[in-house]
Amino acid sequence: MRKEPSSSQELRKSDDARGMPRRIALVRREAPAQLLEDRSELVTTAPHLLLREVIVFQICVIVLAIVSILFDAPLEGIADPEHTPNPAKAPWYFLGLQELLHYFPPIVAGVLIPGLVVLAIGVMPYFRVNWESTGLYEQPWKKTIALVSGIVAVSVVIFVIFHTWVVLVPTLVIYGLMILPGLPFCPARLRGVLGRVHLADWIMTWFVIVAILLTLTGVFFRGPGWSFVWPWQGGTQ
Amino acid sequence: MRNDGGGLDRIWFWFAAMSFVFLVVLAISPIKDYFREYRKYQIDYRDQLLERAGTSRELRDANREGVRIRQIWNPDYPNRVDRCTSCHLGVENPGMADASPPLRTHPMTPHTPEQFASFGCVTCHRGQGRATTMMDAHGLASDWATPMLPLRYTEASCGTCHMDEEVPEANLLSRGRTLMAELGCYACHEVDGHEAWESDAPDLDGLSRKTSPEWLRTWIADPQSVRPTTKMPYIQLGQSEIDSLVAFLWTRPAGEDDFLQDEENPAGDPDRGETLFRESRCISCHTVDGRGNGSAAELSGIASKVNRRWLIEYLENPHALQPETKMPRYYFTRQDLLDLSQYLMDELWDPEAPPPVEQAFRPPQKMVEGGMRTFRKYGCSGCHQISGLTDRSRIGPELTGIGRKPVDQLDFGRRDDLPRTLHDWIGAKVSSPRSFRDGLKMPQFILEGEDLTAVITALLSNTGEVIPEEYRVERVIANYDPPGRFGELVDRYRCLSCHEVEGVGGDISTAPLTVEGSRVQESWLKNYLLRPSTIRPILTDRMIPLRMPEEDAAFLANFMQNVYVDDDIPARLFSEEPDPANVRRGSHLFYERYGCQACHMIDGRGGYFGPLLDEAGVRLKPGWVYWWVLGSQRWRDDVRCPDYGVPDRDALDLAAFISSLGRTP
Amino acid sequence: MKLEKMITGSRVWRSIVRHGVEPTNRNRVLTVVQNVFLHLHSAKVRRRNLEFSSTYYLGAVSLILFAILVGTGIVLMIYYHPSVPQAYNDMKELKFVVGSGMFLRNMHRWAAHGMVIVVFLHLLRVFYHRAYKPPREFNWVVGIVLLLMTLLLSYTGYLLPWDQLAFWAVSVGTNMVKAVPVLGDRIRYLLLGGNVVGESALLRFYVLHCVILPLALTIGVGVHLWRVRKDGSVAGSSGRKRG
Repeated sequence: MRKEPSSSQELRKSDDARGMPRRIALVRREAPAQLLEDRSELVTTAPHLLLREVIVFQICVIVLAIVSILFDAPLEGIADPEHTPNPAKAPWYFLGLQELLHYFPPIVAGVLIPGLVVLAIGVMPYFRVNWESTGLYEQPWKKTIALVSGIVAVSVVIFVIFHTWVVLVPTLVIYGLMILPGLPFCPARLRGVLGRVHLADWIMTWFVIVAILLTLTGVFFRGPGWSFVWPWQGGTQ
Repeated sequence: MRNDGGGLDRIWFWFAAMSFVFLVVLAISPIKDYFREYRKYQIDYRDQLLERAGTSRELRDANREGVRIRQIWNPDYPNRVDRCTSCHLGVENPGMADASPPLRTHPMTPHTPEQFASFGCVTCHRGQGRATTMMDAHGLASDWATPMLPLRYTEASCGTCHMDEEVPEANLLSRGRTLMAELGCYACHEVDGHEAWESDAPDLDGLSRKTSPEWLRTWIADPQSVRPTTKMPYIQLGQSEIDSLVAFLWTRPAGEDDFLQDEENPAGDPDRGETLFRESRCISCHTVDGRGNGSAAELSGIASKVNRRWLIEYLENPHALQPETKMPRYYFTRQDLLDLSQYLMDELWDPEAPPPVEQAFRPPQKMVEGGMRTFRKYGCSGCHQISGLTDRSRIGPELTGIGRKPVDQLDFGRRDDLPRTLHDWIGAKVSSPRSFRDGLKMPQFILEGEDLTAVITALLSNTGEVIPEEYRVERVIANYDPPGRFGELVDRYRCLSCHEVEGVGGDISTAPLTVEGSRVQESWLKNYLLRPSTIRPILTDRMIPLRMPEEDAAFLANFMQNVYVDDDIPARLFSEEPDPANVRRGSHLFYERYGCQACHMIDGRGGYFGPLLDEAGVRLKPGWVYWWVLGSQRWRDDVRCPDYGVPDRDALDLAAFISSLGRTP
Repeated sequence: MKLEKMITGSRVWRSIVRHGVEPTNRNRVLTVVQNVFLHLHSAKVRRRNLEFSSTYYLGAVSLILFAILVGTGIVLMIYYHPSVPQAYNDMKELKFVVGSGMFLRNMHRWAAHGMVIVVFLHLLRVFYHRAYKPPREFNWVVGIVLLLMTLLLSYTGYLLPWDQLAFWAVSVGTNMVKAVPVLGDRIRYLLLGGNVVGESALLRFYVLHCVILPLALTIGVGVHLWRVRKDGSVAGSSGRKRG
């Protein structure tokens, strides 16, 4: 049981890490909801958290060290402005962008898209995105689905015009999964699972999958002249 | 820990376990460092040194050899460090000659062991000097563009500093460079330092006056089958390309093939022609059935190639028809020309050549234009001049820097069979250039065995590197262009086709003319030019009788007497006739002391390796003989006359003796 | 045990660590509160937030990787010259001469790639856990800035080996900058110190990579962690659970 601290005396020494002083708080009606439900047990940071942190640090170093012993960082010949390797590739985390550059004009792929993505993600918390954590089908959804369908239709046309199959395919798959709970033949269990997913999660998931696919294509499937190659055909360097 | 709950014990356990793994993993890299590859060689080297140590000092030195990186660093090359000696430990230690590699002593070369410190290893062998592992140091890792040269091509590295065509002690490289110039690589490929290369292939204007379309066709289809010694390569043309090319060549300029009917020139006397052919020593340059000097064209089959009228014109004045030819202009009389040409036309025809068609060849204009395109496409104008085509741009890729090209920049095309190395690629490019892809234009040269290795070496030597000034041995482009009437005569008689003056000219003659005025007497020289006599019986290539007018001979002899002199050679050795006693002593020295008759013949007695000395008294100047005897290698370093270390007095007496030979007292 | 007592009881020890060593709650709290390096932590944490599925320790791993990068990076700086061609030669020296040089470079390289991935995963975790909700919306923005800085750090470091891979990756990347309307060419010029990737670009990338960006990232991480504390500790998967 918890020991009662007394304000008139010194705090008693306790050897119970779960011990907790009693607090008084004034809770107003419009207070954030989190405060109400933080009933989880409190433990002292030292050693509970610190030990875990040290172990995580050790695991990080161990994994990195093993990788470093097994795989050498790449180093090619000295930089030579006269000889452009074909293809010349950006670092892997920019290869998604470079892949986009292959489809769209530079101003769109190099500036507009990354700029808008960063902006959208950055300002997201200020637009009450998904604060309520209610699923897409747990609220009136017909209007939303119609709007999304319209946007997807326009996007599909754009992707087809620019031959952006790497983006088109995941877009259609995600869209299909998204509208599935609204369709009459959808099994109830599936409707239960998919129906709870919020619109914001659908969009984010779509974005992540597209980003990963674009990056993977850029890293592994692009050869001389940014043509399609299989990873085992070489060409990537 | 007591009463902490939440599995803190488990966490402590993981902390302990992870700490252990953490330390172990971090220890791996330092341990790997300690056992670097060179360690075993260095320990082995120390053991061998200890084994071989003869003195206590050597023993102490050997014991002091620890495991460490050893390197050669030359401040002139701030970005180059050679650590090869970390494994190749014995290269500078002559005591390791019998050790096995990598500890063995480096063989003696013109630059080692003296210049190890300034040259290092990579300069000659290539590879990656910084590296301390075998794969990396030998340049076998993919990140290094210049792997080690196989030993048979090492001479290529001589050529990075030595820009000259002839590099001393690098025979393969010199041969390769000479071959490249001879075969005309520079006709199609631009190479730094060889922009001034000039082809000695004939002008192609007026072919219709010279030969027949049938012969041209056979020739272009495969020149080497017609004349194996030709420098013209096998262009590998299709039949239609050959036909159009012949059509094009035939019309430069058009309509002159009436030479077939030759009414102006009556038949000559072939027997007299044969005598003339012999007397004129044509085979001092030409060959007939492979016999002769070989610096000019093979003449068998000439009758099937050219018509008699052209031949007569050519023999009368070769320079009018082919300004670049090396052939001198003889003074033949009209009868000489008739007889000589008759002999050549009667005797030297090729039984396999197609018979000439007696009809005039008038190709359609379309074919001519097609031929011009073919001519351009294959870069024929790189070697041959022809009117109407002034652009002599080189059609091949530039070759400067080819010797250091990284392998990943090479196009192997369909040659999957080739090892991925630069030297194999160059070798295949040179020996079978068309095998890489369709549509390539480089013709087929006949390059095999050592010639192929030589050309590969020469190409590998072209690295395009910037070498510090003090290491460069620049290419000396000798130039000799005598002025005035002398120059005209030298050009007319093409003296420089055989003789060398100030480093320019052919080497058919063993005698450079640079100091001819200090060497021979004017009256003898004049007579020799008019009627050449045999000086060296052992040689087949002899001075040709040019049939020059006496005034030309007198002028040439006088000019050389005054201009081709060396002040180190005494012009007048004796102020008066030498004492007969000295002559007798000289004779004694000649026969008894130095045994000169072993090589030199006098009055039909003696060896024939050296020049005849019968007329030496009227031929040679005493000062020359004196200077020669005191050190003949000063003249040409390949002179075989031994240097006996003759004392001055003996030299004077020998000069007295020799200058008495052939003179009527 | 006796030795332990001797050390922990000594005046020197007591001058450094003022609280006792017995595992009492008071001492545990003081360990965190009185330590300048640890006091970004709260004295106590909720057990639920310690669970792996709560945060997957992605923020912690990001910070740890950054620390490893700073550590190995500082050692690598000792062997590195931002000049042509010495930069490339230094890579060779690291491999062939410097003790564990290749290991250091490998650690740095793989940790850098790892950090880009982990920071991105951290963003996803926070998104799917709805951990950006008020009062944490500003910290989300700080996080986005940190992600961009991580990418820039990795990118500027990419050029430093001065090999073909580095040179052309950076050439391709900086060519994308050209597409920025009006200012594109100027930004590129400012970044490269010229119109092509050359020695001045190498120097600029070096200064950015070793001084400016790490400093900025350190400050950014400070703000980020401070806000985590001020905004009520980490927000684990609370949002989902309540729904």
